[in-house]
Parts: sequence; C-alpha cells; structure tokens
Amino acid sequence: MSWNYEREIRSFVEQYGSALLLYARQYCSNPDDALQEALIDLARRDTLPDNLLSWMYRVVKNKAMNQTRADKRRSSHQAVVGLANDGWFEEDPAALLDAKEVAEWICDLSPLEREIVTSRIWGDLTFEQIAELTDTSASTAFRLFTKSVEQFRKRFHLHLGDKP
Amino acid sequence: MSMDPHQDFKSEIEQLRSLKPRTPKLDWELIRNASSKGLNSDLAKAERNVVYVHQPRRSAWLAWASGVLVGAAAMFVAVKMMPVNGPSQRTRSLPSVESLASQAAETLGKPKSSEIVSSRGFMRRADLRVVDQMLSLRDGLEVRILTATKLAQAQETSTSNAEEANASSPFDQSMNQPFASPRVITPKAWGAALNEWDKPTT
Repeated sequence: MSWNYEREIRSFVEQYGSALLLYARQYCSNPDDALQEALIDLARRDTLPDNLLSWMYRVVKNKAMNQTRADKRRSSHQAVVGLANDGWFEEDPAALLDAKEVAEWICDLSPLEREIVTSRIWGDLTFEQIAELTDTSASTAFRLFTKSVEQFRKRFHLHLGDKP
Repeated sequence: MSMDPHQDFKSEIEQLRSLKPRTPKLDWELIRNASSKGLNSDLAKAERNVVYVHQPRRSAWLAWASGVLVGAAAMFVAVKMMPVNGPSQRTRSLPSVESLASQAAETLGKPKSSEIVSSRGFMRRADLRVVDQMLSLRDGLEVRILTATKLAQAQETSTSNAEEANASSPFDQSMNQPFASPRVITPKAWGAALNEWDKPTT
C-alpha cells in the first residue's frame, strides 16, 4: 500500500468510519470486524472505487450480513444481532440527546427505516445512493426517512415535554 | 413538505448528528499486510502473474486439449495405415463367393449356400472348384476368341489361295469335289495361317 493510498484510506475512516460502524451494527454483533474486513478488501484493490462511500457501505453491509449468517449457525439470532443499545454512540455529556434513548429509537425502527436513517443522517449518503444500497427507489427512501424523523420528533418532543 | 428533509427536520437532524457514533477499533497492521499481499505492490503483481500462468486448472485444460488433439491425430494415422480387411471395390462389384458357390452347388446337385456355409471345409472345396471352373471358362473363352480372330484372317487368306489354286490346278479342284467342301486349306494357306498365328496380336 502506497503512502498516498494509505493516507486516503485513513482519512476516509476518520471521516466516515464511525458512521459505517453504526451502519454495520444493525446487521451484526461485531461491526468492527465487518468494517475491518471491508477495509482489507479496499486495501487489496489497485485503485480506490469511483464512489468510495457507496462502495464501502455496500461492502460493510455484505460483510456484516455474512458475519451474522455465520454467527447464526452458532447461536440464536437474539444473541447475534441483539441490537444492544449501549455503545452505539460516544458518551458526550454536552450532547443534546441521550445516546441510549436515540439507540432505543433506532432499534424500534423497521430494518429498512433503520438502514435509511443511519446512512442518511450519519453517513451523509444521498437518497439515490441509499436507494441503490437498499434496493428501493429514491422516493421510497425519502418517504421512509421522513416518516422515521417524524416519529423521532414525536417521541423526543413528547419526552422533552414539548408539543410535536 | 419539500424534497429536502434537512429543511423540514433541520433541528432534529442536527440534534441527531450531535451524537457521535462510536469510533471503530481497527487493526491497521492487518490492513497494511493485506495490501502488501494484495495487488498494490509490484512484487505481488508479479507473483500473481506467475501463479496465473501456472494455474493448475489452466494447465490441466491445456493438457487435456493437447491430449485430445494428439489422440485424434494418432487415430487418424492408425486408420489410414490399417490394412483393409473388407472386400475391395473391385471384388465388391463381382458376384460373391457364396453366390458362385451356391450356383455351382445347384449345378452340381449339392446343397445350397446356406448349407455350404455351415461346413467350412466343403465351402473351401466348392470355392476352389468354382474358381477353377471360372478360370478354365475364361481361358477357354480367350482361346476361342483368339482362335476365331486368327482363323478369320486365315480363312480370308485360304479363300484367296483356293481361288488361285482352282485357277492354277484343275486337279486339285477335281480332288476337292468328292468332299464337297469349298473351304479346303492348302498347305500353303496353312503355312500362311500359322505365320499369322505367330504374329503378336494387338
């Protein structure tokens, strides 16, 4: 791996590594391993993909799902995915929202909504990219994202005592 | 609602983005090793090319294809070199030995070819007999044709000689009268006929 190549990958991981980890978390119990494997695949390539972010999301998803399939053979699905809502976000006392509650809200979403929300809000993918990633249309992705954020608004404004 | 949810849910999205997902724990040494074993280094590329050239599946395929070609060529040569056991084109047009044998057997009052086939020894004897008969017939036919040809020439010669003889010798003519044979070959004519006989035929 040339220094430039490694630097680009490191820069990409600094920018999107956390979002990819959050994205992989909804599919497997060891998202770090899924991301690690995806980065190994990336390092083995001659050149960086044209759309690195979309490519990484796709590969991380595949790696995470493969890992889950392998884990399913060994233990129950609950133990595999679990969606344990602790450890999703960095603990930040200055944050406006409670990380654990946000994680619970994400867990309550349907799998497709969860995928769209995480990739849109933290991954910064466009709706076209999300549609390609989730095998849906951009309008469907947009509609589900809007619906999810509305649910979030109701839930957290109610929780905070505000009117929706 | 506009197509830009960031405008509609700006505050919610900003609140959510304020939460930072946990940073990944990665082993960069593994990634670096993978890349050095992968496609990025020139050495790895060269190794990959060598491995590709000596790929077992490819070599097996080449060996199989060359084997098939060599085998086909060998079979072709063997078939070309093999002596033909079957009947030749010439003999195929002729009547078979069985039919000849059956015909001969019918002529001679022997059992038919199907019965002859059951006995190989009799079959051979019948074959030989038929071949002998055919050869003798052919020889006889050739001799007869040849004789007829020669005799025709000799008769022409003898006719002319007889006319000469009649004209020159009334005695000979009177001698010929009791036999009432107008075609008597005189010694001279016979000699001419023999000379004609000795001449090579074309």
